Formats: sequence, C-alpha cells, structure tokens
Amino acid sequence: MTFRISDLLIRGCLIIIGLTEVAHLAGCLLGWSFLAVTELLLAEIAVAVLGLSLSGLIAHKNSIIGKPAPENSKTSGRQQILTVVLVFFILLQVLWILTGERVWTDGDMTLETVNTFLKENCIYTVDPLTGEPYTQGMSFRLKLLCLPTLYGTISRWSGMAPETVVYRLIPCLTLCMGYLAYGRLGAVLFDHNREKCNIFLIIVGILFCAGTYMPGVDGFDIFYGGFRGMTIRAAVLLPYLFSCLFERKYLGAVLCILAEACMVWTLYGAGVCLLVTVAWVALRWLWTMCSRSDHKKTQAVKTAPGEEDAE
Amino acid sequence: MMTLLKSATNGWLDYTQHGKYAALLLAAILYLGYCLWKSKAARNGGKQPLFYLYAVLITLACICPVTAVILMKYQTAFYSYVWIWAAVPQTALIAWACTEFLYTLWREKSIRNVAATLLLAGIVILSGNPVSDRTDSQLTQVEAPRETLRQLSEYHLEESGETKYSLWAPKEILAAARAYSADIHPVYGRSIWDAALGSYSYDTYETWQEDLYLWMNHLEETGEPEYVRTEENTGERTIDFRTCLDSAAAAGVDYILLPGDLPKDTVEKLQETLGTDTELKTTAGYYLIEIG
Repeated sequence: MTFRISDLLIRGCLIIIGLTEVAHLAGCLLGWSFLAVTELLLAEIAVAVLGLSLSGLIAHKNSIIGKPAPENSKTSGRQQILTVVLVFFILLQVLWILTGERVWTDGDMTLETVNTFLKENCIYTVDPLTGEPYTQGMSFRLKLLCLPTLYGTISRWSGMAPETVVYRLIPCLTLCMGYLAYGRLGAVLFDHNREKCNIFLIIVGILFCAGTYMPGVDGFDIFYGGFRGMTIRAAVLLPYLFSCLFERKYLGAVLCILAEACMVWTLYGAGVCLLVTVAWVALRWLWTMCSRSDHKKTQAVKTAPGEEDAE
Repeated sequence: MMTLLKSATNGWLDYTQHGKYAALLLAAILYLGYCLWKSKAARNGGKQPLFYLYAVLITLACICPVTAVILMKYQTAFYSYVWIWAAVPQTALIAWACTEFLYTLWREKSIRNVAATLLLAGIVILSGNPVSDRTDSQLTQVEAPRETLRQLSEYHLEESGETKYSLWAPKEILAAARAYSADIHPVYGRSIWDAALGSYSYDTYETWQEDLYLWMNHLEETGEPEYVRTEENTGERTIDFRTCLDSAAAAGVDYILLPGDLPKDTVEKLQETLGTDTELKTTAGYYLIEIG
C-alpha cells in the first residue's frame, strides 16, 4: 500500500462527512440541540484524528506505510513551467470564487438552513424558507443530508458568517479538493508521469473556467454552487472514485458511495457513485473474461501440433 | 413513462444547445479510441481501455432516450435529464484526450505546433460558450438585495429594539431574506415559485399566500395594482391591494416593500388605498409600508 497526501486529504474529508452524518442524526433523531451536535462533531473529529495519528505512527513504525508514491524524480524545465501555470490558474480560480457576486440557488436552501440551525439551535424544526414551524414535516431522506450541519458547525467554530462559509470557503475547498481528486485520477491514468499529469490538470482547469454555461457542467457547479452536495460529488467524489477503481482500492470506493448518500438526495442511497462502481466492476469482470478466453485461444493456437508442423 | 421519454429526448437537445462540451466529448472519445487502438500497452491489458470503455458505454446510455429514461428512473424522477450526465466522466475524458494530443504535439518544437496548441485552446474555450445567456438566468445576485435587507433590519432595530420581523416584498428580496438573516420571516418562501424546493417540505401554501405572491408578481411585471386570478373551482377572482393589505395585516406582517419603479398613477392608487394615515416611503429603491 502506498501513502499519498492527496489520498489522506480526500479520505479525511470523506471521513469528516461521515462523522458529521453521525452528529446530524443525533440532532434529527434524538432531538439534540444544534450546539450539542456541533460539540459532538468536534469530539468525534478529535477522537478520529487521535486514532488515525496513533494508527499511522504504529503503521509507520512497522514500515507498513511510508513507501513514497512512484513518480519520475527528474523535473524538467517544461514541467516546472507547467506547475507554475497550474498553481497560478488555481489561485485565479480561488479569486474568482472569493470575489463572485452571483450564486446558483435554484432548488437549494443550504444557506437558509444553516442560518436557521444557528438561530433556532435545533435541526429541522422550522421551515428554513419561512421560519415557521413545520406542520406536515419534511421528507426523511432529505432530512438526513448533513452538509448544512457541517457548514453550521464550521461557522460556529470559526466565527465566520454563514454566508462566507457557504458561498466562499466551501466552494474554494471543493475546487482545491477537486484538483486533488483529478490529480489522483491523472496519476493513475498516466502512470505517474508528472508532466502529463500537470497538462491534464491545466486542461481540467480550463474546462472548469470555460464550462460555466449551465447547471450540470462542472465549471458552473463549482464556481456558482460549490457548496452543493451534487457539486462535491461531481468535482471530488467521482474523479477520486475512478482513481480508486483503477487501483482496486475498494475502501476508497465505499467511502465515496457513503459520502454521496450523506450529501445528495439519491434513491435510497443508491447514487451515482454506486452506479459507477457496479458498472466498473461488471465491465472489469467482462474484460477479464474476454482477455482470458483470448489468451487461451492464442495459447491453443500456439501449441496446436498441426500448426507447428505447418510452420 | 412517455413523459420521461420525451424529457430524455428534449433533454439531449437542450443539453447540446447551450454549450458544446457534449460535441467535444464525442470528439475526445473518437480521438482516444484511435490512440488506444494504436497503443500496444493498451492492447496488452493496460488500465486505460477499461476507463475508456466505461465512458463510451455510459455516454451512449445518456444519449439514447431509452437507456436515458432508465438512468433518470434510477436517479429518482426528481432530477431532470441533465443530472444523468453526472455518471459520465466528461471533464476527465476531454482533458485526457487533450493531454494525449498536446503531449504528442509538444515532442517537436515548431511554430505549427504552437499554432495547433492555441487552436485547441480556442476550441475548448469556445465550446464552453463563454457568452451564454443561460448563465445569467440561472444565477442570483447576492449583494443588491442584501443591502436593502440590511437597511430594513437596521431600521427595524432602531424603531422597535427587536431583530425579528415579518416581511412581504418582491421576489428578489424575499429570495434573499432568509439567506441574509433567520430573524426575517417572509410571508412565503422561495418554494412558492421554485418547484424543486417544494419537495423539501410536505407543507403547502394557503390560498391567501398564493394571492399575495401572484399580486406582487403582477405588480412587478405590469405595474398594475389589480390581478385577476382564474381558478377551476372559483372561476375568476380579482385580487386588489386592499385584499392583500388585509391578508398581510392578519398574518402579522410588519413591513411591505413594493417595487420602486412603479408608474405614477399606480402609486397614487396604492396611496389612496392606504389612506392618509399610512405613507408610502421610499427606501433603498423600494416603497416601504409599515403595518401596525
């Protein structure tokens, strides 16, 4: 098993989403106050960090991990230029998000929900759009989505305004995590050829910038709705999922599937990540079957006595 | 089922109308197919062909209406056609094709190759349709309505010493109200016009709330203070400012904001309805009415 910072960061984020879901459920099902939920989340994260650090230390001691990722040690001038261009590009995009005055709010009430959680100190007791108590209630599947709790907790801990957290901080994080995820995908796609990886990431960045013409296109979703679960799925989960499937890291794939279920309204948790994983595994199985039968045929042809005689 | 099938067919047309990333994706698929066919490593069981195969199959599934309907059913009927494309690694595939192309191109340094690189960049950028009119229609301004709400909230705090108040205002103000502060209680939420938000709650709006919404919308669009609502059960019904004022007062609304660019005769009519006790003030580009 190889150790990579990008893996650690992405998986760390996915684990935080899972921990948020646990705290969020405590608020939803047990009626805990939002303050108690944020404290529970803080405690969970502290325990998780401690646990992971300890296990990391033990693993490092036993030399199970610590192997550097395979990469080209040579750094050419062109590669350095590409890296500088890439960093400059990412900074420009972060600036775009930070100075943006427009957001995509159609069909989304994240900021209203975060404001309501913080104001009412409870989870989903009043309608975030009107501030009036629910009379008929809301869909349980939607109630389970935990991103507003995470954003509310960040706002409470950091003292930042909910609007800054939802419309500025989180989209910037989504963008950066997106680059990490695409970086992982590029690394497995191009066999750790760093120059190709950098070109790949720059083109991904150009596609993000140019593709802001309608919802559902990555650029639009990231720059105008980077706080939405669907955007995080498209920009972070899916590229990371593909890299995990490439490398047969099924734990990473499971984390992506679970994270999606916690963030996006899917059909009983069966979201896009699950569909991709199932399709991928099925294709791989078919591919292996076909390769084997081809191999057997070739072997049979090679070893057939008639053929040898003929030659 | 037929509706979904229609939605899938129209969805593809709509998806390709605004930007040309779908065309770029198909070009990328063709180019990568050629590259992989030529590559010995790929034929000998590399990782890339599997990713390519997945991408081709899922793209075809999204384009073909019958399979698109299956995918739409899978992702719940709540989401529209465009969201089935989430399963297609579109950005990754286009970027992969461009990377392969550029990497091969840059092996040889020549002006022709620089020109080809610039041409490719131009194609990618223009495919994204940087001047799309759809971008503007989908986005909400954050700052302008917030400034109005900030002024109103400060005014309310000065006048009453409280932060909480109820508000009835044009669409853009009410849309931003709860995002600005949870102390503001709009008379109806965004879910009254944004159908997708309706699914977040089993609650529905009452007739008087719908009347207020329709009247305000009509006032904004036409500048006329009377709206004729046609319903199946009750037939035609005129909603005027007096009716709306009474409903708002009964609901405990503290402030009403009306569009600031109303025709003069409409303003006179509204003032007439209000009587001499209540004055139409202007604040932050809107007419402000205080109730109670």
